[in-house]
Amino acid sequence: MTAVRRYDVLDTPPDGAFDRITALAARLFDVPIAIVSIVDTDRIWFKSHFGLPDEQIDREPGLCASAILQPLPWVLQDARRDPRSLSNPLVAQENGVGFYAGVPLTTHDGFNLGTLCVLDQQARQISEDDVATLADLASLVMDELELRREARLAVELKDLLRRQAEDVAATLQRDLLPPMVPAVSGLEVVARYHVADRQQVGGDFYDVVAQDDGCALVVADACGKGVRAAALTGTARWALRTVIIGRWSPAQALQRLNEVLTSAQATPDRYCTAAVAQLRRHEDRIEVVLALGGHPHPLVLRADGRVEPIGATSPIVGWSRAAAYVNQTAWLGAGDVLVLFTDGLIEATGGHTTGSDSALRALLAPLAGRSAAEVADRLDAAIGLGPAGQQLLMDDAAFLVVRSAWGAA
Amino acid sequence: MTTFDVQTEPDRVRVQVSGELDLQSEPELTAGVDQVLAAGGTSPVVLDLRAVDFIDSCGLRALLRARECVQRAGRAFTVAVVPGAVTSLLDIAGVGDWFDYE
Repeated sequence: MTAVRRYDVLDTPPDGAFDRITALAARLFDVPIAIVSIVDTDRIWFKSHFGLPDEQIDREPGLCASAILQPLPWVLQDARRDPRSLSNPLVAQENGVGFYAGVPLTTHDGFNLGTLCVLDQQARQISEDDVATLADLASLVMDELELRREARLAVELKDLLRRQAEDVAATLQRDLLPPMVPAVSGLEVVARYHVADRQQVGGDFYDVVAQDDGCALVVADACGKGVRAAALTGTARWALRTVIIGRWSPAQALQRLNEVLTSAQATPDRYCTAAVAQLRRHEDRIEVVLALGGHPHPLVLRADGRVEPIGATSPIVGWSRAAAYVNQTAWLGAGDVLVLFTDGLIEATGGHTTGSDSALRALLAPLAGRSAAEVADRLDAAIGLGPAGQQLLMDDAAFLVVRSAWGAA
Repeated sequence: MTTFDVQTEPDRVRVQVSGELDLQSEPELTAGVDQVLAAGGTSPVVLDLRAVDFIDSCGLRALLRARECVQRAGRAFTVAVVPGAVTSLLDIAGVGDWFDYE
């Protein structure tokens, strides 16, 4: 029975391949009925039944139920007189079975699943050649069953691998992002993160570290995808967090990260880009000290609708020991919004080959005066992730939107 | 669709790339440069990127690796570019001055 379960064939819908074989068998042997039967615990179920309306019968000894219990063809040339079958109800009934020849359907590891059998109401003679032909047809039936089992296993395996890949990606990703954005006194901070492919760990990450007088923000992108990128992403995220907690400036933080990553590679192989910002509250405005490592310039949406890039370009992080990083200061007034992002957002808003942030700037300009959450929602909607949106991202995208809370009157 | 074409000129070897330089085409560029270096010679290698219309962080990594490999082989490495996707990424990445230009 385990073998029958393995082939998962019981109660499956009719199938042309098996119906062709039973039709062929009936024609070859010039009999009215040909059946592919599968034996279940308490019944004999017909995968294909040419010339017989029934879909299953009881498991009474004498016919199929006996045929599968031994390895050889089960031939009853005159079933009504044969002691092995004469008491079977299908034989004993009026117009019952007079002739039966069945060949077991044997798996490659020796289990009989059922039979291919031909039946007639009249008693008949059958030659050894005929029995050999029936056995060949039974092999065809078995080949078809094997094909279906292999196809089903392949689908199940593919499904399992996909679920495992998604699980690994989600697990690694969870570890790379802060579980929640901390509350930062006086600031409204919103983080969004979108993966293009749920089966792959992305290289994007962000971090928000609350500090007494403000907070530190990180948005970064490790080149590549998958587990190797995730390893670099993990190293970069925790190295940056460590130096940020130690109150190093953004440029110093990138300098340290560059040292860590270059010393971890014998020859340069992987790098990341990052924007690191330190925000400090002053009386009526916020000081933003920013350093960039090969990263797109963050944008400030002013309360009057102007959009300005901030930060000074410095090289990518983790490739050259000679790279130097610089801080640049900008100020956020009441109602100004700061947006830090990875290049996935530029690509998603501006089109695949643009490379320019002009579409993103045009998208932000009319959002002057909105809250950080409203700006983030609008960006989500623009890249196809709104409430009813279908995700169309080519690349992962992460962004942080920050606004001073007292500007949001 | 990305294509690679290697041309041996009298005084240099030119690797012409067109299309997109990204995660998918990165291994092809690396293999192409390896092939040029395996053929031997001392002439400068030019990576001609004028027909590249998209490049991402993996494409940039391929350029940086090509530069490392060619220079390690003791040969001069230059890139040929026109203003566009490649130059704007080199600018953002802060690595424009890491390359010599044809």
